[in-house]
Amino acid sequence: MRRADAAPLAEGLGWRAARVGIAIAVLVLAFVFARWWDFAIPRVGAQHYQAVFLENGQTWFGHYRDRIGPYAAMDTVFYVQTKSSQDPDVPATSQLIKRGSELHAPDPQVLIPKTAIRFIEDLRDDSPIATYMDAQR
Amino acid sequence: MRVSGWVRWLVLPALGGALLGATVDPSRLPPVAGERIDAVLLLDGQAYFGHLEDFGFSDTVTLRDVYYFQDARAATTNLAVALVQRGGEVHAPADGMQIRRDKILAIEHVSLSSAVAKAIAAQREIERLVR
Repeated sequence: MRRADAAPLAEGLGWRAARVGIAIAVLVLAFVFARWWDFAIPRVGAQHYQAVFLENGQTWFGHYRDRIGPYAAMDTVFYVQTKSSQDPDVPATSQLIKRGSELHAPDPQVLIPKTAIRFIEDLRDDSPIATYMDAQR
Repeated sequence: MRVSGWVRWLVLPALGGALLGATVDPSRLPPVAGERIDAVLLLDGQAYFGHLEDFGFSDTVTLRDVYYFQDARAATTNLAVALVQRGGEVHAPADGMQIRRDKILAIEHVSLSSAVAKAIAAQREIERLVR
């Protein structure tokens, strides 16, 4: 190969390698961004805590994140546990339990299919449940 | 059809990266995290534990190597519940339980230090010794 032919060839290969490098960098950046973003839909003006009413009748309290796709996510979930006494004269007691101490010790983040959600409400800042959750964090 | 340069070198990699980011959790990859066990809680109160495959494109999720709680009060262990591996039922189901997503209440990651994960590990060890 003559030197005059080799120079444009090397230049072409260099440009191609640069484009492949850019494509790989874009792919990695898009991957990292997607993992960081988690496809969460920003909710303007939403309170910090929400009550999520589920199809099975339970209500979970925590930080709710709407996401693109079939699942929503909740972080640091609390739920109400009611204990009834054997004695019919003693009223049942309810307490707010932080999710995570169950037998399978789940991570703080839980995915909830949107089909399992009936409705969602924001908790006011002065809500007793929000105050309790703040104290527990 | 000719694809223009910026689409081939910028848009397609960006879409590919976003799609990978949506479907691949690096912390789930075995070299990073070891085993990953998920809990699938159903609307009827039943819970299944196993390896979850969920790509979001289907109406079902697949759970493999499935364990679940069973009433054990009739057994001689003095325990209320036992963790049972799915597959020993009368209909002898093969591995790979397909669960409709609209029957799922929640999906959680199981801590490997939890009682459930330890029970699964103990049961696997017993099965390995029996074989």
